[in-house]
Amino acid sequence: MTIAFDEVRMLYGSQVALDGLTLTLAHRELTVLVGPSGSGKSTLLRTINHLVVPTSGTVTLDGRRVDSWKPEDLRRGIGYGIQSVGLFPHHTVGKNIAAVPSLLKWSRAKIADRVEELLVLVGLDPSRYRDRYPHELSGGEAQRVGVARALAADPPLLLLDEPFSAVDPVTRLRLQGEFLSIQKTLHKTVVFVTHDVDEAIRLADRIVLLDHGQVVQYDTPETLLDRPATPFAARFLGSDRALKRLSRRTVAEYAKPAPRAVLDRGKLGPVTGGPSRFVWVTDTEGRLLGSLDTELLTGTDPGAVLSPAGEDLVISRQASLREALSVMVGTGARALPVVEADRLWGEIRLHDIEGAGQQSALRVAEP
Amino acid sequence: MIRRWVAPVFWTALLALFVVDQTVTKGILGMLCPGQVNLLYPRADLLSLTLEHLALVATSSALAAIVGVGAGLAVTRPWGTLFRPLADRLAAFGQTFPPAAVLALTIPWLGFGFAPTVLGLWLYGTLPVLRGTLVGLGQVSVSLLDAGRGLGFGPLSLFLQVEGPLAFPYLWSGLRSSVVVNVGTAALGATVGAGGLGAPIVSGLVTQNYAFLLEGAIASGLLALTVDAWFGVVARPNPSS
Repeated sequence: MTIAFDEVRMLYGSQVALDGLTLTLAHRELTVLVGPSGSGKSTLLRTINHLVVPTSGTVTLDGRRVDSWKPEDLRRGIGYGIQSVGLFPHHTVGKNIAAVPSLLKWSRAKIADRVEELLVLVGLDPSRYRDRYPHELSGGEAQRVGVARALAADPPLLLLDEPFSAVDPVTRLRLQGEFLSIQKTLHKTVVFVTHDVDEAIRLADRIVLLDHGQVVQYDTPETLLDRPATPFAARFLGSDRALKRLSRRTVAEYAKPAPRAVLDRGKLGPVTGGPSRFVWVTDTEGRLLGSLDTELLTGTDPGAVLSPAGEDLVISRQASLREALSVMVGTGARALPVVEADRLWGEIRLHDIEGAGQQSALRVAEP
Repeated sequence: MIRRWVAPVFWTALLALFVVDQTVTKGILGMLCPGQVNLLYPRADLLSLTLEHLALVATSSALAAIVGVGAGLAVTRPWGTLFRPLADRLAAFGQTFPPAAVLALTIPWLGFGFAPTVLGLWLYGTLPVLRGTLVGLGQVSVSLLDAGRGLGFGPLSLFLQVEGPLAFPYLWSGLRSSVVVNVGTAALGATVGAGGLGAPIVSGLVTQNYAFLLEGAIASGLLALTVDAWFGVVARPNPSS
């Protein structure tokens, strides 16, 4: 669904919330509206489902003006999620998720099936969660239910207003990851409001950076980080832009085959994956045991010169380059073993990460 | 589930026993006032006094409920917010006003009897209902209503499914205290000739016959407990609390 804003102005008294804003958001993209508080991001989001009626200008969905619908009908066709406080405290999880399907008068059986399907989708066991009340949920669980409720009637467009802001940072990272993988399969048009730059960079296909009710920049996260359009944009994104860029890249994209050898009953097998002074040592199953300096190897007992792999010296395939870099800086290691499901998968070198930080300027040319 | 019905059934049975069966009434009053020959108020039997009393309370409380809830709703709708501060002040003010004063003030307008008593009880009973309604509606969070609107609830379904149910426990407890207090206050109606359970009380005070006084007092006390217990059947805490 394409969303077009044309000269949208919104005044609250003499205060300008949206200042003649013109913008078109792309079909099936996840657009994040980000900006300091008071920049108008929530107001802009709320003009889409007509919760905010602009003072002047028009908002259209696929060419049709939002004010041409009866507001309730418009909103029932758009998913809407806000912080966990938006769950109805007197309704069970199941009934909360069923809110829009009930308004649309779906059959009871169809609603029950849909609730079950959505709970599974957001990673909550239906038999355990369906009949709970919101106050019996953790913050993260409540946010998941909020997302499920927004998705309930399978709307083509999803509006999410700081949906993950009320949870701790660890849970937030997990919810973001889960939401991204849901979005990868559903491909909704999503408009997402946050004040958290890192969240915006992690999630967005495209970011709208707002200030004082105007669009400062509308670009992919990579372009925004590489070429902030104004000094304000550069300040807002922070001086650690190069690091933020790394958070868009996964270790898997930059890892190389690891020089490795198998340690079996005290004997070290041949080194594969390229010649190297340092090799990663695994057992016969491919589980990482540690690393080894081949120059110290006197031939007698490889176990004696093996430095065991600590948990904090291993990075997962799905981790971001930023996390890998953080481990390297923290431990002084210049290369880390990359694992997937306990097995050695490859290695990532500091050198490759530096390359990634610099080459992203070239990557933005890609579609 | 059955436990909820224990209290109201118990108090109703006790009230019925005391009010309907004259030998029971006499027996109890005789024990409390030994040596008293005239135990029962002679001008009307206890059952009809109780029904009269109930009629006063029911009429005035029904009016109080309609006006209190109606006014509470009106001032919280977008078109009524202008009167919200007035309603808030009235609701707070009502708690400080003695009920006897309300009755005294209405007599000059309406004379004696049923009508001024109902009016007095109505005015006095409206304020707790209004207060309960305002508190109940006030504690429904703005972002919850925003979420409802955003999901596509119309004004009526938002009220019936979200705002109303969440406000109801507060509204109900306002109504409950209003009615229970009215059961007691209605006894004052006898001083202006409205009858009811106040009649034997006033007569007992005037003639120094404490059996009459106790006849009215026990009956109205039991009536208040009964009414309160029936309200308790419906009142349940919100699952969120």
